[in-house]
Amino acid sequence: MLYRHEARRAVLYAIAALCGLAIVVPLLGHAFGASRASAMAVLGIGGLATVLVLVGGVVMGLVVPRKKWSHDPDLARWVGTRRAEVASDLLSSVELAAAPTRPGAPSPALVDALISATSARLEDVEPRSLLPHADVVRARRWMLAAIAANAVMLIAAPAAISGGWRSLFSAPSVPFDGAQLSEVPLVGDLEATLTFPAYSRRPPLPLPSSSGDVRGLPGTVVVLHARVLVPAEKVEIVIDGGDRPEPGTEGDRIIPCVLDGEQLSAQLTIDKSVRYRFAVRSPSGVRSIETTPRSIEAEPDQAPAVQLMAPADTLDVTNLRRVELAYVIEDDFGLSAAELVWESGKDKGRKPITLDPTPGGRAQGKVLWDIAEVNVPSGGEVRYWIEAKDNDTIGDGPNIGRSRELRLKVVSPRERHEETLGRHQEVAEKIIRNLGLRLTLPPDEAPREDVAQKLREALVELGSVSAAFEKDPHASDAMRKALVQMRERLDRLATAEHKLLASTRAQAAAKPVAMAPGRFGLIDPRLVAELEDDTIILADWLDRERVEGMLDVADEISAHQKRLSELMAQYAKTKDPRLLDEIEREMKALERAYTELDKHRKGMPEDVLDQYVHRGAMQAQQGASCLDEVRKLMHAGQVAQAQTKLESCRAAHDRSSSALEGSLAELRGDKFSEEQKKLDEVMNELADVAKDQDDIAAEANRIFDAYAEKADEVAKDHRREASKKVGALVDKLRKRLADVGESGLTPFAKEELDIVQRRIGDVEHMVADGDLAEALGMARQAKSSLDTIAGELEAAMNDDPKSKWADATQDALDDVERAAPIAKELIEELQSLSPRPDQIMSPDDLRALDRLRRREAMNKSRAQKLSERTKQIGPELPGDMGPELGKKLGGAIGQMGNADERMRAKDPSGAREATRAAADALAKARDRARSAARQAQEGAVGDEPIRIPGADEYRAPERFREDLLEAMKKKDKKSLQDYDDMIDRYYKDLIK
Amino acid sequence: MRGALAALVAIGFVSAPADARRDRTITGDVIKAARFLQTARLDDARTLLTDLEKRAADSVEVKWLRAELAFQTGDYAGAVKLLDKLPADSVDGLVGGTRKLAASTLSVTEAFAEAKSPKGHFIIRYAPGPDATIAELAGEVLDAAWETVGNDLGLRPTDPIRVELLGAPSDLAKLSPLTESDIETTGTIALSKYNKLMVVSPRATIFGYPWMDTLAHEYTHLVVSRVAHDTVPVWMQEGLARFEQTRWRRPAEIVLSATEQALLTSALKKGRLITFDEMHPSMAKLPSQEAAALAYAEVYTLVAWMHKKVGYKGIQDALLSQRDGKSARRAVAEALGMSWTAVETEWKKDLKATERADRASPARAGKPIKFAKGGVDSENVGLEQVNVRARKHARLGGLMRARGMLDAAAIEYEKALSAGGPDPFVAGKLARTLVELGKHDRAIELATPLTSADDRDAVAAVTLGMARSAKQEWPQAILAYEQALRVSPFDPTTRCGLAEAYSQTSDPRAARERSACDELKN
Repeated sequence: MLYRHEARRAVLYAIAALCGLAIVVPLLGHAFGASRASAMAVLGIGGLATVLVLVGGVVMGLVVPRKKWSHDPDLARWVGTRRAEVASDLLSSVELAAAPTRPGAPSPALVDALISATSARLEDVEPRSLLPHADVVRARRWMLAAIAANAVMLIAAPAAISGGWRSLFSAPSVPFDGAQLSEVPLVGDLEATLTFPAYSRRPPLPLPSSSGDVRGLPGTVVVLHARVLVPAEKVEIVIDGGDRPEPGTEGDRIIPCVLDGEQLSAQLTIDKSVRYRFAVRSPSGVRSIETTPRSIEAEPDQAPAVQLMAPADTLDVTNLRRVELAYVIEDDFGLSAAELVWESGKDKGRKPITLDPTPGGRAQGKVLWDIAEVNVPSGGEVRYWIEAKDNDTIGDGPNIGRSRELRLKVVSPRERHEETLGRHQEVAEKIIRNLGLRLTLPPDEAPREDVAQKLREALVELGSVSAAFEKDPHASDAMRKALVQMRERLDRLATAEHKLLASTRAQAAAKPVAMAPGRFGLIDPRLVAELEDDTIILADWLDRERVEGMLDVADEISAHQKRLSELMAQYAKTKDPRLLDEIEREMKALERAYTELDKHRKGMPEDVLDQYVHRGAMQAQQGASCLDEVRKLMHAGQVAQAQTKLESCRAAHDRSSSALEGSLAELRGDKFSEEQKKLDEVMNELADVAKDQDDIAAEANRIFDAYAEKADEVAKDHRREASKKVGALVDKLRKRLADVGESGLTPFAKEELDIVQRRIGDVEHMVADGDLAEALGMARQAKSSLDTIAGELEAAMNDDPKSKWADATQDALDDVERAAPIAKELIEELQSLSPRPDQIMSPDDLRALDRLRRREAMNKSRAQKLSERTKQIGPELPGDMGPELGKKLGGAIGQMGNADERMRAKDPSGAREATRAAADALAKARDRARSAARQAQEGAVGDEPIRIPGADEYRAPERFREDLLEAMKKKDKKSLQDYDDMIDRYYKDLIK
Repeated sequence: MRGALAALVAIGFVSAPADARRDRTITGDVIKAARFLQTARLDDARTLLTDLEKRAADSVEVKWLRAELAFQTGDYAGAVKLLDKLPADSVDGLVGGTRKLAASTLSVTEAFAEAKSPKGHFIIRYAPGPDATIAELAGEVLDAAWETVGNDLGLRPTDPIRVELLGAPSDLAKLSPLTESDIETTGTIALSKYNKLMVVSPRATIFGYPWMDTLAHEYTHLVVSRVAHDTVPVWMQEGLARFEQTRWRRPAEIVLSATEQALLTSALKKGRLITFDEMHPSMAKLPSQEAAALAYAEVYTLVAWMHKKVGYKGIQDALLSQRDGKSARRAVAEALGMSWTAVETEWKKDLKATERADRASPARAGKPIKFAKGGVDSENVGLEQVNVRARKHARLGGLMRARGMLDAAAIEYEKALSAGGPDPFVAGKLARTLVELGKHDRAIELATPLTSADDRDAVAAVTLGMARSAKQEWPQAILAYEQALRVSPFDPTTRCGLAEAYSQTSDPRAARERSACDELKN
């Protein structure tokens, strides 16, 4: 039993050791397998270790136990180690039993007795229990652990194990299949031609006399031509495996070359950076390969770099505004698409950005982001960024660049205002109830305490509502003032009542007898009267605010309709399917707005609806069904009909809004009659001024038309003569400009010089067309640019008089100054050829223009008086009307002043523009005055987006300027055309 | 569409074939059939159309005529189907017009339920729901009107007349040429057109309106149209309808309300009577409810005066003369045996005499129909009629009432009465508040004069009914409730009160009212 136990233990340990070797040896194979000798050594050591393990197992499992416990005393001693309590007796029994008879030895009887006793004691000992089971368990654990480790290695890294064994047992292949390594190049006169992927728009690049090292984008096709320098039957290009440190291994790729006499050619496509060699098989069959590899470097295509600019990094934006975002996207080869991406909770949206087809991988521009597109409730936060894709079509496709992430918070001042109105309503309820309680107050004191307490609570809330309205742009000053005054009045009365109650309590405590009735007889009527008035005031303001709230929603609907109309027009033009999503989004926003409008109607007291809000002003349901028809037509692909339908919906909505404005005016006239009276007074005067201005603009238009007709006739008569006279001057000027040495010009002066040349070309064209006025304008611009160049060059000289370019600059300045008088002469000639309007206009029209000027002056004076009157009575006008109208009138008055000047200068064109502008400004002033009277926030739903501060003053980055100048250096027309738009925009900015 | 139809008929007149010996042409018959349809002669139109279908079944004109006939006989789906795929601009655009009208009528009425009047002369169509509670009443009123108007004007239609009870003014706008603004401005709430009566249900209004009389009024229009082949001008149509609208419940007599009297008095004084030309083409197109009310009062008095002079025989003669081509002015003058100038002079003299007799009546503007606009319930609808001095307290009273603070409301209403003197609005509200507070005697004292002065005042009538019921004065309560029922049949208080009063007096109508009461309370 003991032998079996030992044998089992030895076997288990042996297996564990062998499993360990099965892991260690292949791992060593990786380390030493490259060298055959080392591999053999590892294998030998491994084999030896295996044999040792097996021998050790046999020795430790079979031989040693048998030797160790071959004699009974040895076994008895071992048993004694397991059972210490019988150790001595057992050993004694065994030894005495086998001991020879000798003198003094214990008597056999005694020995027998000892043996019997020991046997009896051993009867209870189970032999199996003597075995050290823990040893076998431990050995088994080792074995299992080793087996598990093997299994894990085989599953997790089978290649590591199998590769290890393979490298130990298989001899590595001979590099390059045993080809002879050649220290000298096998080919010469190598020429490479690189054909880049189409997306890079790079022209093919021939590399004559190349070393064979090439660099290109992944996807670039490399065509190699060379002369073989040794006798060759076959030539191949051997491309290193890439990942392997050692060349000439099995991972190598072979590209056969086409051999034509001594000339070879081959083609390969770059996909990653590698090295390659030429291998040659001689006619005798000897293979040679170059020792020194040549390199192919895969040029990385970078993801686009995206810069995003917003009005601020974190914005608070109303849900109906548009935000101006600017971007600059640069890529090394070209851009394919860009999108504005936003995320808000679960809502994720993308808005495609139309990239200008500018040459090179650069795009910059602005995008207007309509916050209505973002499906987020008021107070929600939105993260947004721009993603741009380059035009890489190779491998994994386009690389994507992403701008920094910005944030905005969508807020709705209207909703906030409505929340405050809800609290206003609660206060009003408390005041009404307090009044109701006081009207029926019994004479005893207990309920009075309660009623007084409730009034004080209501006053606290009234204060809180007033404070909330302080910061509310939708709340009017008049309402704030009314609430503050109400609170003060009520506070005084409540305090008086409180004191009276306190004194009553004190008296009652001192003398517990019933108080005489009529103690509150003085204060009660005052409190009731005050509460009655306040109830009415609060209700009136609530009614007015509710109607104004409906108008605010109606404004939102108008804004959505306008945007929808624009989107549909854009879709009709471009048929861009991406617009359909935006259209649908806008329609949903409209649906929500109609629901909101209906909700407002339902929340309004029936008596207010009945008395002020006429049926024509309540068109939410009709609006929604009209929109539904638009949607159906859009879904049916009938875009033109949908547009027509939408226009009819808009017209109906405008009528409805106008009726609602009328409702508000009626309500104000009824409940806030003083305000409305003042408003009517101002609006009537404004209407008169606007009407007069419309008439003036119409008359100015008539005068201009008459003038334009005559001017056209005169121009036709002068065309030939003008062409002759101007042509000579233009040629002279061109010649002078050609003399201007470019080396002395600054980059900016060069740009300006180009403008001068273009304007001179324009002069020629315009004169040929008979448009002398326009030609004169062009000539003036040319002259102005020449002056600018002179200024720039003078500044350059002053900045650095000792510059090495100073002489050249001085020469250029002299040339420019010589050209200036010719430009002046050109202007004068054109002026003489284009008669002044007063020379063309009929005497009747001149008189009419003069009369019109006087009329304009009178109207301007009326507008100024109105502006002053508006300032005077501003605080008495409803809402923000006073300051807003003042502002708008200021603009109109300015335009009227311009008109006056233009008419004085006998400039019918300028007069027409200025009078029309003044009429438009007055019309806008009327609209704004009407909406400001109800505290509507200009721009909350307007067209004007939130602009990036200073964006208009933003100058093109240096690189952009360089791009432009580079393009301008290219003299061919085609190249310049590509840049025309950019140049125009650039110069517009510059000129500004 | 009516205009286009008239144009088509007019073309017929100018292009009628000169040679009488020639065979009938299809064009001529189409025009003739259209003329029949236009002049409420559906049977004639049907006969001619049957003949036309044999000769030119596929022509667009015949298809349109068939569709128009289907539409006018209530087969809206059939009309839409018949015109399906025909170009909208065919037959001078009449195809498109009829199709649009038939489609919108179908969309409004397709889910309607139907009930025959007790005597089967009318088919009442209504939206399932509360309108069911007035369908039977409507049938009873119309059957009675069928008898009396038939006697008076000499025609009792043999075909059942369709009556459509519409849920909202917007439905009437969909089914007629009127716009919602027309309806709101003039208070036109019912129409007799397209061979049917269209009536907006009183549930679309806040205080109701005299819907029973309105049904009889519109029915009179239909009869007059049939008698005179739709040749009677609007002023005479309205005068006759106004005169006949109460005949179902009382003898022929002129009963001007205080409002009407006030309007006439004021107009006579200022010389601003609405002319008969201004009443054309429709009273609904007059600029305000007040103007419409004045016009109705004028023509009412004219017809009443004519009736006084020549009786129904003279009126029937005038209608028949018009059917035969005479103008209304000439027909009326001939019936009266005097010139038209003399008619006008005599009538105005009579008016002035009446005005003198009623000079003591308070001059006040009419009580316009208040349409429900879906806002929050308010006790202050109609407040604008209250004297400015009393308005603040009346408004506060309404605010208190709306919040159930009845004692406080009564105090404010009393203050309003003190400040502004007697006012029907305030008195009505106070009376109702007092009833709810259990102060019945004072409520009766306030409400009784109101119900006498204005039989359209449902608030006062129902208040009086409640107070009388509370005092178990059942006959008086029934009278008050019935007055309320004629105006505001959807007020559960009216129907439940009437059910109780009827049952107390063992009136068999108690079951009907109980059922309506239960329906409206739920």
